[in-house]
Amino acid sequence: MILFVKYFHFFILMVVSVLISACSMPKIVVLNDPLTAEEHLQLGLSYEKKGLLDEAIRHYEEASKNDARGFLFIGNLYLNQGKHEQAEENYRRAIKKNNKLADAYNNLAWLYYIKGERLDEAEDLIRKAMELEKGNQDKLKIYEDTLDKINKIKTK
Amino acid sequence: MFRKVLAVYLAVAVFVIGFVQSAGAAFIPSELTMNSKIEDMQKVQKFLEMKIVSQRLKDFGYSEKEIIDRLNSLDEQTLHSLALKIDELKVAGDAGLAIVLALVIIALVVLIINLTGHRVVVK
Repeated sequence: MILFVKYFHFFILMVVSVLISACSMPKIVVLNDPLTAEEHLQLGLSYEKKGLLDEAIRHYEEASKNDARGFLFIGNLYLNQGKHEQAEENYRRAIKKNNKLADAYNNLAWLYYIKGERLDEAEDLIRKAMELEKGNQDKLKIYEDTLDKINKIKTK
Repeated sequence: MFRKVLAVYLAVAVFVIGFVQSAGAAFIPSELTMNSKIEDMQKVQKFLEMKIVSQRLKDFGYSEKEIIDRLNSLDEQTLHSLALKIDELKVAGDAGLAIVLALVIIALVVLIINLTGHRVVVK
């Protein structure tokens, strides 16, 4: 009995240990992301085409951690919804993350064109896009079209 | 007659294609930036959703064989639903157990402090 009282703490400790080991312990699971930024963009695009916009944004956001096109695609999605402020914010983020992403310059310029505001800046943006993609004739054609439209609205 | 019909068809087609391109030309849609084709998207989506579900099962400790078996038993729609709700997917467990465990850990800490000759008092 004296021995039991003396080692009471150890006895309690042992009982608790046995009880813990008898329980099914909750597991700590480290979750890994199996997709690359490119794959997140592809999946997001696929969801966007199906109208799953929240899921699309989730994948674009995931991609944007490593790839500025994530912000660009979020901007495009918002622009298609007529949410101009969010679109502008995301185009700017895209350019900040990758200042060589010509499509982000073009689409921001396009946004200003459809809003009919900051047209001088829109012209600068589209000229920057043209400079970045001067070897890509297909893209240049589209950028020239944007510039043309901006100039027309400016001269009105 | 056939040539005339063909000529008219081609003329209309060229006009429509040209019109469509110029109408939406100044905004670059995401698929053009990605350079991806709409018709390939479904295949790519299925592949990527399999990758997501497979990784999550792996994270939860399933073996390669178990993962393959489970993926094979899923139809496309179920796989899609699973991939969409992947963050809600958890290994079975309950919150009550977590609370009990937390209390036991606290009791253990108190016990260890007591064993080292100190006292814990709740004021």
